[in-house]
Amino acid sequence: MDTKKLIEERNKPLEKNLLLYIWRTTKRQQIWILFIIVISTPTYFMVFELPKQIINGPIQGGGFEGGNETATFLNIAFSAPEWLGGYSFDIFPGFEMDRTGYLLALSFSFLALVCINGLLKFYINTYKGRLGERMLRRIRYQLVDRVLRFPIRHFSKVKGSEVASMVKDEVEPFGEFIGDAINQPFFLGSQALIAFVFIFIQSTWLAVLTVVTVALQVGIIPVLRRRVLVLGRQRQVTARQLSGRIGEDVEAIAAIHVNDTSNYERAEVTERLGRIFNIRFELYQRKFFAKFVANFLGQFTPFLFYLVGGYFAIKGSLDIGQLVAAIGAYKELPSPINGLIMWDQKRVDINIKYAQIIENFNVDGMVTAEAQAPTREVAPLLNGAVEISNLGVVDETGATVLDNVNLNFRIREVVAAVGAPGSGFETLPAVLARLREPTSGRVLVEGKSLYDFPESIVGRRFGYVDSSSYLPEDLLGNTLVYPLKRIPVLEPELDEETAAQRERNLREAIMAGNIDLDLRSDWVDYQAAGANGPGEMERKLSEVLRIVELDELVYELALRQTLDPSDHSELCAKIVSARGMFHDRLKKIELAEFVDLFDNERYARHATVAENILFGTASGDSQGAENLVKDAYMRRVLAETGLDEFLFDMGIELARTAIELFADLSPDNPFFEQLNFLSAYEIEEYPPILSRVAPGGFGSANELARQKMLILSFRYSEPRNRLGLLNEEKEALILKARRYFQSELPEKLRGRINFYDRDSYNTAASIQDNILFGRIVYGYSEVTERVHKEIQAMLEELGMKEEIWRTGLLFNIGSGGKRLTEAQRQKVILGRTLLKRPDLLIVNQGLNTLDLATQQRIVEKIINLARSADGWPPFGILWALTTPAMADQFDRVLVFEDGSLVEDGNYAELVNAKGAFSALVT
Amino acid sequence: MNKLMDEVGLLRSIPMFANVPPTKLKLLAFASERMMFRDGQEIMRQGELSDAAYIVIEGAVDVVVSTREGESSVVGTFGRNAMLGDMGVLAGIERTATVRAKGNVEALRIRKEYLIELVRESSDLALDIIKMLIERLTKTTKDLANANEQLKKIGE
Repeated sequence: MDTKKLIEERNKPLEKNLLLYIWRTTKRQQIWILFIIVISTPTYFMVFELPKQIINGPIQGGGFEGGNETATFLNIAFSAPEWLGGYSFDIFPGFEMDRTGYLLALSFSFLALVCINGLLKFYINTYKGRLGERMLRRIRYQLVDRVLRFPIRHFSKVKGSEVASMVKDEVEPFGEFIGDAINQPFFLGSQALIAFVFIFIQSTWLAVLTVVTVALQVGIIPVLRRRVLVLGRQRQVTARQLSGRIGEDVEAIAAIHVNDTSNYERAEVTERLGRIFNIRFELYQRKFFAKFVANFLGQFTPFLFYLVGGYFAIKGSLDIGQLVAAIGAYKELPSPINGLIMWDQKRVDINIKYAQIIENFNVDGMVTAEAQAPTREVAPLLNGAVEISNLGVVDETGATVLDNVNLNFRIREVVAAVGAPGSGFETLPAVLARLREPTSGRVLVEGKSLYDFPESIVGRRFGYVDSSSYLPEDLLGNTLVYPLKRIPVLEPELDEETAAQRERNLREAIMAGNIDLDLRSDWVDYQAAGANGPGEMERKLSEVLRIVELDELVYELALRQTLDPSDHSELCAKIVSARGMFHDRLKKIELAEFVDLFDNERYARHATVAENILFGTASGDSQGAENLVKDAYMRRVLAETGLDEFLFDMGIELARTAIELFADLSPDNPFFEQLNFLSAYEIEEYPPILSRVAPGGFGSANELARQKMLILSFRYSEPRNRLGLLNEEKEALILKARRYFQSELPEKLRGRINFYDRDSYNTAASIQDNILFGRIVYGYSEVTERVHKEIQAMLEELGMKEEIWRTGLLFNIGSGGKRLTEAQRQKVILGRTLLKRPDLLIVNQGLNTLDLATQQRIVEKIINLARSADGWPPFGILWALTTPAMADQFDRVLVFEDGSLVEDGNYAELVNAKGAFSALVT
Repeated sequence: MNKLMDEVGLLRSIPMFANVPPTKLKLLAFASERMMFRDGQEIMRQGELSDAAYIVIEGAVDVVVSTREGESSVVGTFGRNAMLGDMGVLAGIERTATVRAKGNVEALRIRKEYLIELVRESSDLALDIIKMLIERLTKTTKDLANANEQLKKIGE
């Protein structure tokens, strides 16, 4: 299919009939399957035929009677039927063989046929499977393609999780059906027809009987099925609504907790599950009843045959041989008929599901495929005017939001829109971003209707930021360059094998009607950001991050980031070599006493007991440390230094304290944050263990109790927990254990520990902690901040800031961007919109979660950029301000009241006019 | 040796906590941080958010209030066992005064969430706080009356 045809196809509503859809998209493949099945039938029958020949022939001696020593193998001959004259043609005379030879020949032929038959079956099944999967992929792709083109207003009616459930789960059963959709009715139908013709030849009467019962089945079953279909539809819709509801629960989880409505939600789910249960149960009953009726009718026919046929046979008007033959033929009839009925059942069932799904994706007013067509053309700069005439917007409830607005401005102008909430000042920017549709009037950009522009122009030349702050999970750097990812710009360099694989993947994608753009190419449009490649891009990123005041945050994130030395070997080496210098600096600014440095000869009080024994941390999560307690070598070290009994007693003391203080608190009580050696969930395990052990009871305690107590002690730190359990004598003992532990460390443990080694980078620790190489002591106000400031200052002096800053872009922003604050997310969104250098930056109350002073600063900086500061190309701004007083920076102010544009002029004029605007600012 | 028990004793000596059960006080001590401040260091600053209350363990602190005009004056000096910043935390308002270390100071820092959690759990504690507030209010009213009287005298 060429591109034009494809685009036309995508603009049409989806085909509502699944069978037609399947036929249209897979015509050729379906015919091919049919063909392969037809040519495979002879072998199929031969596989059944040969065993009979083997038994009759060489084994029982058929064909060797009367002193006949040989038989003919592979004689191929045709005899024309008697009524054609009975000529016979000998095509291949065959081989003469004795009994053993004949047995061998037939047996091996049998084996060969079994192989051929199996392979053909294998081929057919694989082919059908692939066909089904491809089709499934096509349907899913088309559905998602449509979601991406839904008109914006439609999203107020759509639940994300319902759409997801339709695309993912509801289309799933189609895959299996597609391979059999066309060929199965064909085959079953022809089988049934052959059997019927045979019956007809034997006896017209019996044939009439057969027709009547089959007609009865065909007539009754749809009636029985009617209700089943209704139920099937209901089942699908209720299941979909359930996933919608679960999605909403997850979204609104905070509201559920703060209002204590979890039980209402439970009842809600119970109600829905109950409804689904009832529907499904009725469905089963009906299905099995329909099955019962079908079976009954199937058996009713032989009953008639015996009765009627038998009667005629007794009366002598029907030959007994004929009756037996007809009954024999009839035996062949029910299975294809039942098969056809089942096929039809499945077809109807799946067709309903399909129609149900399609209905939701055929929406009026969809964005055309052309408007989103991928293009490598550089979008022309927009520089003219925006002319708005008689613009009116009515919302879904029928309320007028914008009323007869007439307005002209140049794209490069710096304009503010202000007004009370709901006055329409927030609707105008949304209309310009094409997120709200005008109900009347028109919007022209450079003389052309705004709605006639493809997204490749509006999406690149206009920038739009509103107050929403949702960001999908990704690395910070990727999140920032997201607006530049419109089309692949650089093909990745691949080795031969990967290139071939990629070629295959793309070919397969095209065959399923998917887009032929590779996600793994480099999609970032560096040019659009004014950069010549990835290297310069970082500078551009840092530039916009400075404007939205996020650059320091990125640096802090970078310092808290862990690095993989295999990716950043040079940087890690530099960090390690900076340690000594940093410790000297700490001494100079009199902070050294506030940092407990890691020293193999000293006990680090501000680290835990486990860290002190290992002189490092266990790799991985808390699981790592726990496994260490079970480790035989570790236990030997503890036993031989006598630490095990001491730590066991200490564990009991810790467990008792924890239970005394925390046992009656709920797990989400904020106090649990301070319980560093036990989690709210672990604490439940301790009371039963404590009731069986006592201090000094290490020898008699069981293994589980020993482990549980040791774990607690391992997590203890004296300055942090202040329970007075460790003194210098015990610390010396732990140091002894450390030396012992290091002396005979088995190889397999070595890989599980990140050692505090002065000369190597610790992968488990952040960049900051790697420079610090120690612990900041507890309880000194401002020390942490001062140490961190010192680290930053040193890195800057060493010229490492930029390199480390870069790693901050590898920060994972978390699901929904929640590892950033809302204000930070809003800044990220504004920053990345600036990155694409729009001709018109539309800001609709963006930054509204920031404090006013910061908002003011950022607005000023952006306006300066718009006026070509710092070598930026000039651009225009339309900013809907939540704080009208900030409008003083703008060239022009639009004032809205009750959906109308009531004032339009510069700030000073409007303030002096003592009209609507001056009322807003005072 | 066991600093935690020292801190529990300290908390017990604060009038506000007199009727709080011992395990709760121990929990509060457990969840609190022992902090050191250098001479002149600000423990809290007027106008900032109230995120924690402090109890002086060792040393003395000056309470300083600045006026709108930017003048500041020391309105009081407190020593061992004084509780500071508690009202701001309970009321959720900004710091009404700056507290500065006078010499080296050791103090127990109780985070806002924990103090509030404790009040939420114990109505006795809430009653004690109300009592204490009324006492303070009575004292302030009396002071105000005295000051008014003195002003009148000066006016005459």
